[in-house]
Amino acid sequence: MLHSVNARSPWVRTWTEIRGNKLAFLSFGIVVATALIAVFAPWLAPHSPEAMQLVEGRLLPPFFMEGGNTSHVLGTDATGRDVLSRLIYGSRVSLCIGIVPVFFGCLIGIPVGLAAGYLGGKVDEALMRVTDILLAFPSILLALIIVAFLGQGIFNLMIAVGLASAPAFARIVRSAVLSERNREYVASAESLGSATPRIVWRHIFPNITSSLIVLFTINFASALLEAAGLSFLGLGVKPPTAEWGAMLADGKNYFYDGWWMIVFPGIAIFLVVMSLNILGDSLRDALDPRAAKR
Amino acid sequence: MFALVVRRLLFSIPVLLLLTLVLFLAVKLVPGDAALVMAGERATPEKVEYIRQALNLDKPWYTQYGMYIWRLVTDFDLGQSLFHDRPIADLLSTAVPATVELGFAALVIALPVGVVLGIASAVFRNTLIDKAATSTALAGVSMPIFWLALILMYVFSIQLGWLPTSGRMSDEALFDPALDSVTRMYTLDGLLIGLKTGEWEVFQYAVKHIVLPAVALSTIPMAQISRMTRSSFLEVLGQDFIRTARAKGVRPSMVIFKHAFRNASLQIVTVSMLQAGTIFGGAVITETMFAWPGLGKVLVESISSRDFPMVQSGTLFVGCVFVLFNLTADVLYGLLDPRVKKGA
Repeated sequence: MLHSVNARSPWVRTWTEIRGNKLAFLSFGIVVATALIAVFAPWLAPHSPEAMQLVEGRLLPPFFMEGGNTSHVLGTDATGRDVLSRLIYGSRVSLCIGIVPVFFGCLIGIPVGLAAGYLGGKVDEALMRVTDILLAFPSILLALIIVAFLGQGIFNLMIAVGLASAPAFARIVRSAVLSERNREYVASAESLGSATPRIVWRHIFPNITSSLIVLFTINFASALLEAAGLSFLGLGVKPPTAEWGAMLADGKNYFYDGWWMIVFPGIAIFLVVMSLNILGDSLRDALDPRAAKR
Repeated sequence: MFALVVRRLLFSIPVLLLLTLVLFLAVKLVPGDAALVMAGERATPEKVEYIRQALNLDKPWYTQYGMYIWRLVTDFDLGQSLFHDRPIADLLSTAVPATVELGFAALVIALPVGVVLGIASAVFRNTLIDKAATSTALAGVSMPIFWLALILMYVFSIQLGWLPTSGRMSDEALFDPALDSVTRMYTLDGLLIGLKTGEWEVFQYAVKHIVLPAVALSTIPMAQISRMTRSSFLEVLGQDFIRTARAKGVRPSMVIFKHAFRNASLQIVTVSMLQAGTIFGGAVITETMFAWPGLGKVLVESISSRDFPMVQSGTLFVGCVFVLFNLTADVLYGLLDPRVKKGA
């Protein structure tokens, strides 16, 4: 009995799907590995990410090239900082500026979507109009404006990317609520005299969790890309903080002398974003058949 | 149909007004004295005072807002850029054509490639072709544009030396933008010059400059168009009339290109129209990367230099364009699908 109840939980279904699909499992592994690297960065990184070697050791190539050595496996950058260590430490900031905004987007988007879907009428109309406007706007522009007015910096960057991702959550939660709210279980809860917040939280919300898991994964990918892009433009983290997008920005002026400065951080971003996208796609196919058809 | 357009147009007015209000109030979020922030740390008190006066920052916000809207509506006055010290309308009039040119070039690449990839993977569903096409699309949405741009530059400009890394026109070209540019889109100008004089040099330079940024910019819309094409094609291919066509012996190529394509084209057109958002979002980064003097680059610069009037007016402009694009997508949808037209 307990088993059958568990099997229906969206978390369990998510896990079952990941385990059953090789590609999804690999992607999941990459994301988890990156997260572990981020957590254990101080133990994994061979050097300090900010230690410069200005006299000797600038622009050392990776170990497999002539002139490189195994002390700096992926080479050093223009100020002699170890690229591998910066990548490892950079995963902390990069993952953070990818995932924190999505939580933030959920925090705003989910209540808005729940309210619009469940209350309907004028509330729905008003909330969805605003959401429509925000959705029509390119999200990076939205983020740029917010950074422009709040000022540059990592915290404002996260707020900006988060606000830009909120409308998508509001939309999807609303449509999920609309399709759930006329079900019999809601009517029966209502007739038993449950209060509205309780119905929404205890009855409707668990039924849209799988849509949310999917949306969260896909949004994590796009938020990571967007945040890295903003930091690449110099609107996010400030030097000398190690972050993948900012590392690319540092490397872009050293094409001739140090291709490794732009190749490795790029691969890191690409791998994580691609893994999240694969994960999101396969979860959507499995958990959310309605969305998969769209 | 007409009524629908009018209704949608009327509806855009409050949307745009709301946008101006939000952009306007955003300046209030600026920590500290806005005039001081805009003028910069080393500004003279006179300059700060000048900005305060020019933007009416010493008056209550509703007065400021009223004056802003009034000037906007009566004189189309978008204000003055603080950083460039020029009318914003002037700056937009050169930046916007550059972005349009680049965006259009990107769409010219993205649309055919995306549609072909999408159709191929739908027709050869679950084969190697499908896998290759969907992986390409997946890589396209996962690729950071700025990274792709760097790699393109490294390979095609630095290693091979085929294409330039930045700008819109070579210095060697006998082309003075101020005199020779009619459309302000250099490829188009080059084409016109070529047709008129038989000298294709300008056109060649313009095309060489636009190739790399356009390719970089095209990846995400290409991927999205291909995904959309695939799913709408699969939907159409599963319908009865396709089975009927096949059963009565219509050639397979006919079934795909005539029966299925016409029906799937509806969604393809709409999705492509809505790519304008993605393209503009990408243009912000691509233009900065390739030193392409378009709207995206101007906006990023105005943010770094705290040129708030420029940020406001630039964004307002983009907002108007988006409202227009969404409207066009809706109208096209109606034109292509008789059921929607009737419903309206």
